[in-house]
Amino acid sequence: MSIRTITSRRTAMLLAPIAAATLLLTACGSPSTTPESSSEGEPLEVLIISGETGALSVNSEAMRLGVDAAVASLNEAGGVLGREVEVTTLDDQSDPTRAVTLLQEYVADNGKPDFVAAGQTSNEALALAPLLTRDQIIGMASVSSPALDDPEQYPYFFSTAVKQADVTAAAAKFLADQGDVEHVGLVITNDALRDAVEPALQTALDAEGIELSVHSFDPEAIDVSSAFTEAQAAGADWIYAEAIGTVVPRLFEGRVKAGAENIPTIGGSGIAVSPFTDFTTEQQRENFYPILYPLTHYIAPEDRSDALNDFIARLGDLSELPVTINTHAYGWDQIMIWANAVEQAGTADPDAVRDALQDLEFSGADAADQPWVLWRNLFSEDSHFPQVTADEFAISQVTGEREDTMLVLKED
Amino acid sequence: MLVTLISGLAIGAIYSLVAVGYNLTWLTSKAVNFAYAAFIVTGMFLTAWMANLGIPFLLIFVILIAIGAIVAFVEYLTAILPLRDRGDHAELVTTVGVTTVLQGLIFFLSPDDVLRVPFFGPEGLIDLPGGGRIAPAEIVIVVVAIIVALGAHFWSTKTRSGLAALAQSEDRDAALILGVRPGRIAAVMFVLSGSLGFVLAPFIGPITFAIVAIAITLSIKGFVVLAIGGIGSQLGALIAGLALGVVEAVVVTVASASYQNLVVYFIFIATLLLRPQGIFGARKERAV
Repeated sequence: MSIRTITSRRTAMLLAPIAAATLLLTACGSPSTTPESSSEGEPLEVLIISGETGALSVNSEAMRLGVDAAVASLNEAGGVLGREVEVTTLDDQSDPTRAVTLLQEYVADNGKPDFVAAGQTSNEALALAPLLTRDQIIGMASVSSPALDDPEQYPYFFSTAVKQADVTAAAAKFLADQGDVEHVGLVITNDALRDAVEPALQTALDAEGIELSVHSFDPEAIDVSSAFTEAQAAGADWIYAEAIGTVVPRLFEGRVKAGAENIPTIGGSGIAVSPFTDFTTEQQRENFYPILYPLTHYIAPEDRSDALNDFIARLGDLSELPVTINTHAYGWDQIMIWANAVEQAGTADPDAVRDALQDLEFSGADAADQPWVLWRNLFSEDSHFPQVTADEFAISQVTGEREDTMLVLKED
Repeated sequence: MLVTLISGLAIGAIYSLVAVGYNLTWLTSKAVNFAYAAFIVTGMFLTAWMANLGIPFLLIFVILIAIGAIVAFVEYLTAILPLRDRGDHAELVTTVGVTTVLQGLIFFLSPDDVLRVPFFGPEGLIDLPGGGRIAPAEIVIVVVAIIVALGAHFWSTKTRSGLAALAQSEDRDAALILGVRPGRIAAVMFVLSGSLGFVLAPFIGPITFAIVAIAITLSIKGFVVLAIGGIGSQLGALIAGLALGVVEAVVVTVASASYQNLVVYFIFIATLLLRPQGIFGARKERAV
């Protein structure tokens, strides 16, 4: 073997790891190498990543309709900062891994979008939030995982959903206002929902001096009456019932089967947002007080803000909608809140928009003046979740009828 | 406690009916039809849709029998017949595939995840002495389970056709020699079990609601009952199912919902370890 060969081989051995490291760093795509976002004069780009197909497709379509309505309203008014808003939708099938891949591919091919609707579930949002931080992209989702309420770790992510603590605080205030409630029985599925609701409700009720007992049931159980029987035996003055999904009808059946319909019952948000009036009888809804979010209970046209009227008008024939307009409103609000922040900042620069979102001019204003339709008080430097007050919920019996998809409250 | 007992029997009756359905196809073609629970759930959605259209229940039952027969026959042709005589129980996989297809079909056709299935009998609840209420549908399903299980047991052990069906599944060649047509018997039993699955829907649906996801729950619990009662034993399916339902209800009432599935699967594993052929199953010697 010649010296030239040995030298060449030695050189190759030295250079190879350096070349490999260089390739690796390039492939990682540091922020400084990421294509820039849209510039002045070009349309503002909105990217929606959500489960267009799969189990959440109905909700995804509802949110998309809300987004389309908001974008149409903005563009008809001349756009945002004079720039048209364009929407691209990518189907992640509600898979967080796919969501991340889709966002990375989009950024590599098209540059950074100006806004990302970051999925519909906490899992998707948790997967996308670090990318939003790395690439400095403003993103929003209607998800309630408290892990996402971390402005330091996720400075560019904002949620339009409420936290469980806000819901239970509203329920506790309602119960305290009744004047004679000493003991509440929590009837709930024995799963992650219980892990989220129980501590929040315990804290809220402790603040009002109300005792709490917990009576759980298997989410796959066919007969759930035993949980209500337990709550009765424990001496509950009121029951707080909570479940999500297909177990909700069986919860109502179980309540009546246990003879617990005489105990006033608050229905948690998971029940309240389900179409429970479609599969319950009047007997099953007796003494039942769901916690109703904005736009799940009926607002007469004369009491609606201009933004709400615009939103409803753009949804078309409401009788064709399979879910309440509350779901569509999340899509509308994400776009309107972001657009409002861009206008306020005078630029689509993510840092400036983030600062504007944390100090929105119309946050806390009268609902009549707000371009969004759900929550009144929005974000701050300390929290990127809405700052919801108890009076923004309606806790009331319902008639079972709907108007414009919204539940009609029973008059006291 | 009376309401716990009756509710437990009702749930157990549903498990028993699924296990009886498994046994019907096992006894005649040595294939466990894991799509049987999906047949019941599909029947629930059909019942709800037809009832909402104002179709009389008598006609609903007739339509369910017909649709059940067709669906089961298609399943037999596509998921069972091609795998016959291979001896590797691949139909365990293909029938799960049929379940997936049926579930997908319901998702596609139904805008609702949950439907109330009206009961063809008296609605409302019956107050029990000592407190608690039961639905008339809960009493009816227990009676139906007893009739169906006893009827299936009688057919398979006392009637000519039932004995012929058993014979052809035990030894096809011997059955052929004796003039029994094994293929036809297996196909007919699949069709009849399919019709049975669909026609049970109006009895079960008012208790469970029509929910796509419940097919998996019923499939699994039905299989647990099958194993505990003894595969091939209709009486075993009935007794094990009713007992399991009562055990579940008592555990939830006396202890906690957290222990419900724990106790059930403990009993399941204990049975497999101590008496693998099931309580009423026959132990088979393995031929050397």
